[in-house]
Amino acid sequence: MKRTRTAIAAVLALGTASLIMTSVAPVANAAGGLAINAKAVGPAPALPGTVKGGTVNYTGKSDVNHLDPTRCYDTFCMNIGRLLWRTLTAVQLDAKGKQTLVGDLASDVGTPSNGGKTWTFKLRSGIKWQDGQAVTCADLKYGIGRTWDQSADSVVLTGGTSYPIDSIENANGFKGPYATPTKDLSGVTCGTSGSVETITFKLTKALGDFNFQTTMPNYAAVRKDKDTGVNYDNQVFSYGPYQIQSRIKKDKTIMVRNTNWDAKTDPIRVAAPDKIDMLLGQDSVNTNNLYIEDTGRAVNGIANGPLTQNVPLIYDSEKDALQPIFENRGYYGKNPYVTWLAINVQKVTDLNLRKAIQCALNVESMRSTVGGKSAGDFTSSLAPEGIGGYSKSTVCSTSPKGDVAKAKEYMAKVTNNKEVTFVYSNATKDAENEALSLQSSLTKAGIKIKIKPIDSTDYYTILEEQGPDAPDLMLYAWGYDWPNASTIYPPLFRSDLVGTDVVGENKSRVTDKTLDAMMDKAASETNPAKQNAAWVAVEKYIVNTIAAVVPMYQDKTLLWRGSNVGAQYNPIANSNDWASVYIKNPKL
Amino acid sequence: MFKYFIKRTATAVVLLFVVVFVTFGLFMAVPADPAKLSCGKTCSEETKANIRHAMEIDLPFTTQYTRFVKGLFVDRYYNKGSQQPRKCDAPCLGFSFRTDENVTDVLQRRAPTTFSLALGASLIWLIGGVLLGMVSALRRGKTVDKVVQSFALFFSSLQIYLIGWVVSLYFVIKHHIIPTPTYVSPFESVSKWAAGMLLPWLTLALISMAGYARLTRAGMLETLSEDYVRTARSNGLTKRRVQFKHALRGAITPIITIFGLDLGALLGGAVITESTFGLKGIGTLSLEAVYELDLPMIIGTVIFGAFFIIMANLIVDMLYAGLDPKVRITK
Repeated sequence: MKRTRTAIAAVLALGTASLIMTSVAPVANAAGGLAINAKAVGPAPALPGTVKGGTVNYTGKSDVNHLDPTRCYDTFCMNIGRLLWRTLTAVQLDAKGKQTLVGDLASDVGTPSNGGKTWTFKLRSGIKWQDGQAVTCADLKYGIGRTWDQSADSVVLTGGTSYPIDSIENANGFKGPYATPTKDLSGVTCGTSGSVETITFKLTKALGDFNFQTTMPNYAAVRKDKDTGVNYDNQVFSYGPYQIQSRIKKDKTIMVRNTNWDAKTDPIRVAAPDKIDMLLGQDSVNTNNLYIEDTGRAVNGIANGPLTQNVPLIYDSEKDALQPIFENRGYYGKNPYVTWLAINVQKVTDLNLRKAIQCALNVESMRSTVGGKSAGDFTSSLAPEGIGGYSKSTVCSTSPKGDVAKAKEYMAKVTNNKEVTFVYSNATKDAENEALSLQSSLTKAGIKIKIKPIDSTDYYTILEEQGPDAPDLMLYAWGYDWPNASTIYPPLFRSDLVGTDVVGENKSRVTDKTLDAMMDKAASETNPAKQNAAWVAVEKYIVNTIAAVVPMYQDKTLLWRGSNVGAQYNPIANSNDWASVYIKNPKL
Repeated sequence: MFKYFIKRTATAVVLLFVVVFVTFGLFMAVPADPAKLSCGKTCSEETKANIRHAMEIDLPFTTQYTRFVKGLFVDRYYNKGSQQPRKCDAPCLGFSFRTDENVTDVLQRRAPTTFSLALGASLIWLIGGVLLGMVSALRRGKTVDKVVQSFALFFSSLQIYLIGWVVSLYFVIKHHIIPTPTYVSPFESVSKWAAGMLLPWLTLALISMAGYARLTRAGMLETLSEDYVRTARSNGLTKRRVQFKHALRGAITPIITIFGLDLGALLGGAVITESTFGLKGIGTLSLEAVYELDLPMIIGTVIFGAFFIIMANLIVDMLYAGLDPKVRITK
């Protein structure tokens, strides 16, 4: 998913690296992608020192957009929503921060057949709704089917992802359970294997990592008799470790234990606190002061999302580490977002000019304008470290300062030395300094470069516009939906994104059939090792063969929490992890 | 007098409809698409069109406006004829684009916080401001007068968000002298209600009190120099009787007028005070609605605010007319 440059600039202005908390960067499996455990069982791995009991607080300005899983597509709801609902598969975070794909509602991680066009999962037994009824395959199928509720003659459950609609066969004209209650979603079939329930998906095209897609909230169960349409957001019927006791949107939400949840069935959620107390609509300055003073609600509180204010108080730029007072209640380290320079290949048509830009770019100088080391770690990949599709390689030079001599060699071969325009948002002074740094480094190699500030309100519109005014160069950042390259390269480089008016997320305006075919092949590969290799090939094609981007750095995040809270960093949520949080002293 | 009342009331009602009309028009002029904001990240044009249909913002402006006005008087149905029609009881202000909640319900839920804030703070600043202004006027040129004048100048130059954060930091967060601002219904606990509102009341009152002190001082000084006051003194009335019965009475009329208007505006939502102290009243609701392009909520908060401002003006006009017959003759 996209990350705004404004947010990045604010975060990057913080300071730098080093890992203070219990978490470490995700560890890749032998095949190079995320680790997979097809037989994971509960209870979930807990952080050392975890004790049960107490109330964990969230005090913040913004409410979670949606708690209804069908409508959930942001990191906040994906993080905290897991306390109420469970998805078919999920990413487990162990005490050392290692991520592993495991079954959640499923007891396995799915079995592909028919060349990746059919996937079958065994469902875990013993999972119950908050009223004690068993969660069935029919409930899961109903929940998935709600994604299709996009038609004009029914309630529109807005906000969620469209992954199931894009992937699952729908031969009967099913338009969701409200508009077409008598029709069946043909691509999803419930069955049994011995005494175990199974769910089978027929896909419209082969997907080698469909079992990663099933970590998305659309693949959560919803019970038909408890479905209240658009109001389900406030009345989610739980089968996770907590249930909603009270909820007033944008005001207050209290969650208490769901007594019908069994830790033995859950390899993801530790669920140590007895209660979750969310106080919303709070002024951010007052909330930050509570965390700085470590008092009131903040003592038992965890923050959501990266910290962008009061940075010098928590971060020591000289030591490139958290201030000592925050060592035991903060996180500072890499997040899954990567920042890169997109080159518009439809306007910068000369490959040698694009390669010259890659060589001439002084990434170190640019990074120094937005926070130095704290902005992120240099990278040569668009995929973050530890996931499928990541590879350590060299773009042009091993030095982040670039290689002007090599850039000049490419410039000597350029036949169309046109002036290129770099656009940047005028929202911050940092962005202007970054643009000036880019201009300086490219000019040294003889590249004709113009920098152009764009009003921050129009910035993202301009980035995706086609036509003569489309930018030549622009900075962008992206993070995955699930930890695999299938939600990095296709959403950013598929040729069908490029229309006559807009280009969506394809900022480099790449319309390359060879690349499309490579991505289709990688996406359909069911062998994890082969799939990973295929994504690495895709990445090298984008970076080295067509030189459509210059990867710059993998971003960093700064987080804090109260002194009485134990928590670890969750890379997918880019925040404190709600599933493993605990209160150190529940009596406080 | 009755005819004047009817005439002013009718004008107020017309004004309310004009406010709604203008708000509708302004919203339509905004280039952003509420459907796109609501839709999420992966959203087809077809889905966006369906959302516009569900929100009824694909209808012509006049249809939207007339349906809205009609809904104020009779029950309204959204998505009529679909599998899941939604009923909105009159007076219907619609459903929020962002939270799907009934706007009238949300306003009812949020209003007590705003009422508590406005009534408590205004009472403090009215009493405090008038007393300080009186003391200042009666001790003109003395140290007390100078202190009060400095106080008024200092606090009237401050902003709520600054003073609010500072007092929160020192009195709530660091030293725990005052409870964290929060709204508790007075029907639940009067002491908790007062304790929770204390800091917002004092902050808002301190800033507003300064203006009232200056106004009272100026009014009293002017009245004290009037011929009829000198006549009263020469007729042997006591100093205190002259100061309170004649001078203060003469000075208080414009203060009551300003107070009525200020209170009316505050009842419509104290945006900055509510935001600074995290109070979920009409002010923060209107701010959220604007950020989120939530038209029904914007309209709801605008009508709510406009109602109290217009009512305050109406009451002030009535009071004026009652006190001064020339007003109703000239109007």
